[in-house]
Amino acid sequence: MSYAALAGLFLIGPVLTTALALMLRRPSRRWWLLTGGTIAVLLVMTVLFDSLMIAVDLFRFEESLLLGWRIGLAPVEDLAWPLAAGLLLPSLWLLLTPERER
Amino acid sequence: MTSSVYLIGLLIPAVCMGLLDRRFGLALWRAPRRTLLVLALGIGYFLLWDLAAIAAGHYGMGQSTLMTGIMLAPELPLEELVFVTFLCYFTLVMWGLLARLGSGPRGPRGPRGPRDSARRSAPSAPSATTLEEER
Repeated sequence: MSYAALAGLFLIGPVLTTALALMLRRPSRRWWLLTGGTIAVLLVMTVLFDSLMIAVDLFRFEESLLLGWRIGLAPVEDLAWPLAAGLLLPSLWLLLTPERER
Repeated sequence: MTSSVYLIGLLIPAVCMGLLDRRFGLALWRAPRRTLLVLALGIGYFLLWDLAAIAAGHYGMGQSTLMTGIMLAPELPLEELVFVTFLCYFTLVMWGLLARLGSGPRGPRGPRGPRDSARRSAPSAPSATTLEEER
């Protein structure tokens, strides 16, 4: 399995969690803006720090399983991580927030 | 000493996030139980992702001398657990910070004249309605 396929597989959980939060909690436009902003910050941080971490050889990828597109040194597939984090955590937070608090 | 560079590089900004969290009541200092539960679920998910990627041979440890060498599993250094925790906590703190920045007069945004400084003079005594909201 390619790294992209694995990333796609692991994006399903966060996307479904967000869909559940969307259906059950009907988040406001503000929630979407804040979540989108958080994802944008996470994407930028990932490109910067993933590149740094790869540059100092903290981890290595099996090149033959990568698409080969890189932003800085970060393989484009690694952007699935900030996307997943930015969807999963705010959605879980929203789902676990008591109704009366919202 | 160099072997803890990465670990310290994660822990120092983590402490800084904790200070921001405490100052502005963003996550742990807003809803501790909810934060811990969300973090546990997020950390578990990303570790599962890591283990799957390692099992499928997508990545492994590099030869960097900046890691402690303490291993949690084959190809899974202690630092990865700390990194995943950092990523999840960062996400919650960043969301909370953006919410504070965008929340206008409700968020502590620094001195903005006499009205605001009056409000800021009693930060430890939030009104009953604020408490109700933030609990």
